Order: sequence, then structure tokens, then C-alpha cells
Amino acid sequence: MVEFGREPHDSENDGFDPELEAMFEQELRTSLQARPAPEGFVDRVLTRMDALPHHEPAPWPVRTIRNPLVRGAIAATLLLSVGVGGYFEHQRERQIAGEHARQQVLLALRITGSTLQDVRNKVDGNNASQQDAN
Amino acid sequence: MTRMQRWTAACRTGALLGCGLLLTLPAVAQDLQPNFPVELDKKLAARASDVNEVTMNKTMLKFASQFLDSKDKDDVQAQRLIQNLNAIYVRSYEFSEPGQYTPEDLKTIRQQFLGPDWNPMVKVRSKKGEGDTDVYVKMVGNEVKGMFVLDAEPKELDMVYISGSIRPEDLKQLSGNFGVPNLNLQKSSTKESK
Repeated sequence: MVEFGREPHDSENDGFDPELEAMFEQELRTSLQARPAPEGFVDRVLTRMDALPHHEPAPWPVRTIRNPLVRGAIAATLLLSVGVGGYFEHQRERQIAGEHARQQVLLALRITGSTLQDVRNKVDGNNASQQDAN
Repeated sequence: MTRMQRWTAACRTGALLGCGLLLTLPAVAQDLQPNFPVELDKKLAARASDVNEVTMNKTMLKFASQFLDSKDKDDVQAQRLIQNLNAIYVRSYEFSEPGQYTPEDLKTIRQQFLGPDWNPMVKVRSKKGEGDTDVYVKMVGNEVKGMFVLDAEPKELDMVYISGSIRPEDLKQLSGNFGVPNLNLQKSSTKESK
């Protein structure tokens, strides 16, 4: 027994009570002693295991999708599709805008040309009338 | 070099760049700004029965040039014409009846081309101001750097402003192309009528 107020190491037998130690060892031995399973235990366990729902392997599409490599490939394909689609859409819009700009340039030059033609006609007409007056 | 010196040098460079940008801004803005009075534009467009407005700055002209067909005659001529231009502004108004614009409107438009660089090349005046024609040319040194054409008819008003290097042969190219008959402009450009 360890007395109150005394350090266990101070005792002569290192603070252990031999009686208590022997009792503890006996109890440990009894607890660790191999005991046979109750009769029919194994059968009961096996029967219950058979009764549990059987785990079938997942169908192949699920198994394929679960594959990290396949997942990566799908993600990459999707990204590529979005990128390519966006690029072609951008190109289409650019083509439309470019065609519009081209038409605008041609219209501007057409109007410029016809305006200059009008100016020339007026100048010529004016000169002719001045010559007639002279 | 200490941190303070580096900071001072960076500030000095920034200030120089800023000043440079501020100095070049008016020159850039001059090319980008249409020389047509915007308010008058709106007023005329509201009165017109048919309006054609084309506004193209250098960026747009450059963009459009990428889509001009090298096999098409008109496109090839257009490509050659616009390559040295900074901007094209075209306004063409057709009215269902005469009197939709006033001589004051024309005066407002002409006032923008009274600067020292602008020279009146053609000037035709009618009594009622409904048959007036003006051609102004912007001369910088010996080069033509811009052109403005105002052609007023009783039921039509056309204005064309071209900014950039223009050669007389460029104008000649306009004739016979884009559905425009031959102009023989080199002869007419020397004439002045009042």
C-alpha cells in the first residue's frame, strides 16, 4: 500500500504491494485465457452473412466514370469543346462585323464618288453658263 | 541606387510619359473626332426621309481592309484608297420636300473648315442656298491631309469628310468604280467657281 504523503519510490519495494500485484496478475491471466466459442456460433455468423445483401460490381459506365484518368479526359474534352466553340463563334461574329465594315467602306466611297460627281457637274454647269453669259 | 532615388526616377518617368500622352492626345483626338456638328447631324437626320451615315475611324478602316476581297475590282480600289486614311465620315440626307435645312445650317458646317490648314477649292453658291457646293482641302506642307465636300441640293444634302493622305489619283480612282461614272477629277480639281 502506498501511504499518503510518501513518495512510492521512497518505499523499500518500489511502492508495489505484492498482494495487490499477485491479485492483478491472476485476474489478467483469467481474462486472457482462451475460451471456446459457444456452440453454433460460427454457423450463426455464416448464416447471417449469407442473409446480408450481396455487393455486385458496379456497371461498366459507372466504373469507367470512376476512373480518374477517364474523368480527366472528359474534363479536358469539355474544356476543349467550350474553347473551340467559343473560338468559332468569335470568328463568326468577327466575320459578320468585318463584312459590315467592308460594306460601310464601299458605301462611303460610293457616296464620296457620287458627291464628287455632283460637284463636278455643278462646276461644269456653272462654267458653261458663265461662258454663255460672256 | 537607394529606394528613394528609384522612387524619384520612377515618378519622373511617369510624369514624362503622362506629359507626352497629354501632348499627343489632341492630335489623336483630331483624327478621331468627326468634324460634323453632332447636334446638327441629329436634327438633319430627324428631318430626312433617307439617311446614310458612315463613320469609320482608322481602327475601323484597318479592320474593314482585312475583309476586302483581293479578287474584286472595287475592293482592290477601296483597299488602295483607305490604306493611308485616318477616318471617313459620310452623311447623306435625302428630304421629301425642300427647305429642310437652312443657309445657317450650312454655315455652321462650313465654319469647321475655316482653320489655317483648310483651303476652299470649290465654292458654288446659289441664291437660296439650296444649290451650294463646297470642297475644302487640308494642306499640310505640300501634302493633302484631308478633304471635305459639301453638296447641297434642294432635297438632298451630302457631306463627306476624309482625314488622311489623299492623292489626286486616289480621287480619280473613285470614278468608274463603286458604281460611280468616270469623273475626270484631275481636270476639275483645278477649277474654281463662285
